[in-house]
Amino acid sequence: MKELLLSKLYGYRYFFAQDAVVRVLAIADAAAPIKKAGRVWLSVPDGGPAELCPLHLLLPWASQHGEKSDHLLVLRHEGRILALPMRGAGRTCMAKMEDVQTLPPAFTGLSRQVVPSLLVNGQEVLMQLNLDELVRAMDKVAYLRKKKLLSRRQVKG
Amino acid sequence: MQTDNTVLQQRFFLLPLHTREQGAEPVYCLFTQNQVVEVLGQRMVYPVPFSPDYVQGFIERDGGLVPVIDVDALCGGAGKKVGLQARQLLVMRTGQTDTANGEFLKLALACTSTVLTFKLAERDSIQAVAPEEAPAALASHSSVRGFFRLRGYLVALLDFDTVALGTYGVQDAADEKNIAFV
Repeated sequence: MKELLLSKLYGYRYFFAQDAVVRVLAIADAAAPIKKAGRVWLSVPDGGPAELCPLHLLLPWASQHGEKSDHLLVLRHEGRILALPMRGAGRTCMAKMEDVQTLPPAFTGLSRQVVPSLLVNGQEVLMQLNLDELVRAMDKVAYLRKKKLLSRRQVKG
Repeated sequence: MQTDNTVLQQRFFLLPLHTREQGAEPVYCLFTQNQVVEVLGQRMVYPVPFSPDYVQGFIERDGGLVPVIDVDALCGGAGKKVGLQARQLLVMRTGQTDTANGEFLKLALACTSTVLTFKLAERDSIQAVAPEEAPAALASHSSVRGFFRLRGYLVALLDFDTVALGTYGVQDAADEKNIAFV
């Protein structure tokens, strides 16, 4: 059994290992963001600076999604601190990791790497976001922003 | 005599395709009752980032996950954008099996229009089928296996096995697009 944090990112539930979670904080409580070298940084109380993840650029349905994110999920991964915008404060649960499934073979290429496993809980499906891939994508977005290769609208999100 | 006809009746399903050709005759994708598992109404579709263009996401069905395929996007059509809420989902079994559990791989085909269905006596179905020339929009498509006229409908036979196995030909292009986006 493993302790997981379930969070709602742009309408769908994802799970993260609880030991990667630094904290969850309300967006209203976060300090004003600082933009530097294509990245957006937030000062997290008692946690130092966290890099805001541009999830709206990585999840194509985010722009059509009506629900506004009101919390930040602050995660630690490979020495980096990331902040993911999410809806609600999330909740913890215990899950048997032997029950995880993988995407059907029709999902090819990057999709299998970005979502390496899933948990089916009744009729609800929880997806895992691969933090390695997320960090890689964030670095690419930062590079494109720095080189001004992303449009103003995309950068603003 | 009536009993013979009833026993040998076969049900067919027609999924409307939206091709790029303007003003062309409507084309339907044909499925037999052996291929169709069920037709579902609206259902929660979970999108997955960086999926191929023709994969809308997946649905949960009996504890398993079934990919949702946009057949119009698969055929390169410019039909209505299905979005994440298709009107119906036609769940079909392919000829390929899942190596993990030995079950037939299934796909849920997103339908923007209602799926048509009709029955045909087996002995009549052979006479009722006439070969047709492929419409220009679909003529060179790799998954198309043939075109026929059946009960007045122009129908196409599509091969979904490569889609279910993840070996469908246009994958390289989709990956390139995804990488370029990131």
